Amino acid sequence: MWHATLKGLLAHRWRLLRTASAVALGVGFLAGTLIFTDTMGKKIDDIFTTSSSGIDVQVRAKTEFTDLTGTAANASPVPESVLPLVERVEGVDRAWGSVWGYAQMLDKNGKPIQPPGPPTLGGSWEPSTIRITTGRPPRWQNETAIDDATARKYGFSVGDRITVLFQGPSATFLISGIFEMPDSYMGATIATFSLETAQRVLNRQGSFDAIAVRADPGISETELARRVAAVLPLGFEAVSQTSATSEAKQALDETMGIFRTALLVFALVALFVGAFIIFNTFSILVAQRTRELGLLRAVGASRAQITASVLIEAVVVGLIASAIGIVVGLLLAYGIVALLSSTGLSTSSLRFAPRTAAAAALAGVLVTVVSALMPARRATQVPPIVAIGGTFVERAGSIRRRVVLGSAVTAAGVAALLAGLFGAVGRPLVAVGVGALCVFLGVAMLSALIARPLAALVGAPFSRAFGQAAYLGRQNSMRNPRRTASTAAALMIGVGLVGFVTITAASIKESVRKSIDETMAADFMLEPQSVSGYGTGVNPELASRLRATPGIGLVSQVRVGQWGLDGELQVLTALDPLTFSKIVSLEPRWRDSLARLSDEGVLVSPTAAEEHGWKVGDQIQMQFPSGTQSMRIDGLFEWEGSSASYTITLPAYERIYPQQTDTMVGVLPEAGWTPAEVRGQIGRVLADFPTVKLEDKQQFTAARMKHVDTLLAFITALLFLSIVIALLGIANTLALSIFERTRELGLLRAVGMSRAQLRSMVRWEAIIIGVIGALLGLAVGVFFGWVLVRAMRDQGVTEFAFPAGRLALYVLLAAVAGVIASVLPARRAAKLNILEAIAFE
Amino acid sequence: MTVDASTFPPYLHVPPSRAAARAIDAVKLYGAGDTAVHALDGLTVEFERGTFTAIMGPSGSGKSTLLHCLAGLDTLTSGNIFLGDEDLGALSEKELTRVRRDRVGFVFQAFNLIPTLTAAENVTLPMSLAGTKPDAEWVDRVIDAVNLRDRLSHRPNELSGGQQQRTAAARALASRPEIIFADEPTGNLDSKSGLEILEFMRRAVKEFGRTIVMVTHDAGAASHADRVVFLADGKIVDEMLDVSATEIFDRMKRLGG
Repeated sequence: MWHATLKGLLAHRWRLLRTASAVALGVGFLAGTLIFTDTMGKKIDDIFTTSSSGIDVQVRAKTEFTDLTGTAANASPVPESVLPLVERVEGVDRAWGSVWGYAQMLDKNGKPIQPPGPPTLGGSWEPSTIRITTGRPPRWQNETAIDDATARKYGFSVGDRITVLFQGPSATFLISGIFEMPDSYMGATIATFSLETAQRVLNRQGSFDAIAVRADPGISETELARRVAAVLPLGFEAVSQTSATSEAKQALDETMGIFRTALLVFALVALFVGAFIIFNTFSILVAQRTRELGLLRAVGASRAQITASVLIEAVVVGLIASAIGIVVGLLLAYGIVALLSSTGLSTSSLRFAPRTAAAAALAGVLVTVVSALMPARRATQVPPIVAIGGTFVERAGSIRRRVVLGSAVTAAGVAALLAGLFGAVGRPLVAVGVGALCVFLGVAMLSALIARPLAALVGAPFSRAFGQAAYLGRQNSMRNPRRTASTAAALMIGVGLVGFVTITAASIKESVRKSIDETMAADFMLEPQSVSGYGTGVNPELASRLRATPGIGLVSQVRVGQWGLDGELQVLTALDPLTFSKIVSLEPRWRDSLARLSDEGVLVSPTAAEEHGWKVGDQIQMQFPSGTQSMRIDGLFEWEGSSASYTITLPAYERIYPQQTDTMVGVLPEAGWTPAEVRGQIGRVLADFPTVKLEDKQQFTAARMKHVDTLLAFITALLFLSIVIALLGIANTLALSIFERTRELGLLRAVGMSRAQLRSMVRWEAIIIGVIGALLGLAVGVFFGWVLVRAMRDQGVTEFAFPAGRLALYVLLAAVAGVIASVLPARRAAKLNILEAIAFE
Repeated sequence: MTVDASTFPPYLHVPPSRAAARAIDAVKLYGAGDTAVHALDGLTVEFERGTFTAIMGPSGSGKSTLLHCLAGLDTLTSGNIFLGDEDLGALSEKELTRVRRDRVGFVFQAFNLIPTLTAAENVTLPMSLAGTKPDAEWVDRVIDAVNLRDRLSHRPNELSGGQQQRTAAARALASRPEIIFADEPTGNLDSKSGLEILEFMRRAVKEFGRTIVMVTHDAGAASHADRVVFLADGKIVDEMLDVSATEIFDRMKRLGG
């Protein structure tokens, strides 16, 4: 049995490879994700073991909640007065203050140097952690030392002049030195200044972000931390470098973990698609082998042996898939790491953990074997009589069973999906995932029942317009509805998910557009250029300058802050109640709430109030970086432009937060000035604030849409692999069908079908399968999208958008995909020798 | 009339002929060197228009190879095949396909029909492939001649073996090809169904003026033909006109078939 099975496998090497590749890509995605995230994890480990040398203890302000962004923007500063206290502690060799913030260098053509992702940083010179390679550290206020990667890439050397942008006015410096880029900055660009200069340009006069302390020889970190802590005023802490490092590392590890989970979800989708293809391939193989199986049974093979022969084949396919998958994964990880290195991030060698090999092997074999179970069962049902010309007809009950089972699985999936989305279960994401999986499975089962009429319908216009080859292709796609359906189902998953995110994204965009359209009353909005990391704020000086500028009627600032509610991170907005309602249209009741907001009070959203059972007039304890404050709830308030549930006044913000940067500034023109004139006036002021962008209503809307589009593109790219796998599935089915129809193809050629017509016939079959897959996918995707949009109503997604043009494009692309999938099978079919084909058994 | 193939002079110039198809000095080699097998060994034969010829011979005599080469399904190692005045050897693969589609009809022993097409669609398949409109009146006549009128909308798997062969025969005739090749058309049929096919082929020649070349090893089937050509070892060894099944059977016995 073993022998026969393995011999059979070897005889069909190409088929084996083709089948395995469907799973191999999914395994490759999985392995690639693990290898890449392990490599980055190792990188993080390396950074934190090497970069901390030279510092033993850090002194910083205490925080009561974890800062999500990891930026220092909202951390309380350490007053300069603390430094002498620390310096006097016994065992301190040296202590120095440091400040860090947004600083972006301009290249020699005056263009800002922007690494793709990593931040652009500026900070005070760190005497013991940074090693200078040429020149000397910055000493005077007109000097800077920059990192060697930037210097090399943009051709700067010691003695050159370089202009640097800050949140405030930009300035030009003389490069006094170039230093070796510490690994820990992971691709950031860095300009360093003398401490006093850094404090000035980064707007931190009189304070530090932290104080770094180096111990005398023989004093341990923990001992020094204990001694320093003893002299610190209330609200500050001394942390040993080891624990500071592990905290930072933990935050990075967590981010990496989230990233890994997200990628693994896509790998799972790819494996799921691969499972369909394995199921389909094995079903076809068993059907083609009916005679052989009957013979085996006739000569005495037991059912168990038949099952084993199919499953052994599955195991072999799975092992090959895992092996190829690991190679693909290595290549993928290598590619991404190489891409990252090219952006300036130095990387270590790939890390291939034994766990990765085990996971890949398990995934490959498990997916293949589980998918082959049903076909294996079907193989055992072949009666021995088939060997001598009897026919094998499957039980008639199978259609009814399929309807019942398919409907049940679909219904269960929908139920899980709804439960997950509308909050009836503990782990909503798992429920949604399992639900979606079940819906796909159920629809795939049911689709076999409608595949024949669907293929007839889809193929009808083609055969009418494109003649006999298209007609024959259509007939072929109808002849085995189960095969057509499960081949199409593999594509359905990818298209369904892409359709789903497309609809969701379009709905979010439409909701955002509508909400901005209805609420934005300001003619102009000012926002920071970059949206992530450092430099997210607008220097408040800009607002003051604008107020003094002719042509500008009203300026209203909005700030964002983080705080903790029982240790849980929350976000608030700070605004000026008087002017805010001029730049944003509000419902009368919210305007009334704003009018009641005092500098000691807070407005909460109706949702938050309901969730916590608060009433107007209650006091709530808000944990700020500077300490906990009791704030009175002055009223209920919400505003569609912000997801923050809490609102305070600007004076309150200034009292509470150490750093003052605006997140958004709305501007109204003075009466009698045209928008163009006002734009010019604002533009002149902005010359001193190069990190701020000016937007009118359209631009402001577009800027918000851009994120959604970026996310959509990213998710679509990750789903692309699933679609490629589905294409392999179509190619595989076609190849197997062509093998099965060899004689028929020979006959067609004999009675005068040209090679081109034969290729075209195969192509049309593929196109019809592709279009069916896309249509099923879109049906599921539209449903998912609609459900999710309904579920996000509370988050401000009020509109359901149906981007018909884009969805139609997907159907067209699915047809094109079908054409691509058919190229090789069609070529093979056209190459058949007519006489051999006719004589083929 | 008995003609010894070796007495024919080599054709240097080919004059216009009344023949629907001709093979001249046809050589077909399988394999190479010492193991080469002459399936056709310098064979020359003509098939006149409006005649029904049966080709007989023992297995391995080359009769199927001859049929395939005449029909443009296979190519000669040397020599020429003419369909009317067209030298098939000079045609490209594309042109050969067109010849098969427009000028030749086929009936194979089995598996003659496309399972996804109805009987009617199978009958008109060559015309559909050519993208031409079938001559409805003619197709109707052919369909009535094979007595398929009430099976037209059926798929092949809903037809009996005899009905399937009749459908194939109707297809072979439907596009009014110059010549029809039949490869053991009755080989898989019971005697009654076989007789129906043979009678139909005879009618096609006598009433519709078609040309048919049929390979068979059944003397009874061959007796329906106007002329029987005997092959052995890739050569024509004998020819008989209007003979009975018994005479053919005797001749075959002497050939060792």
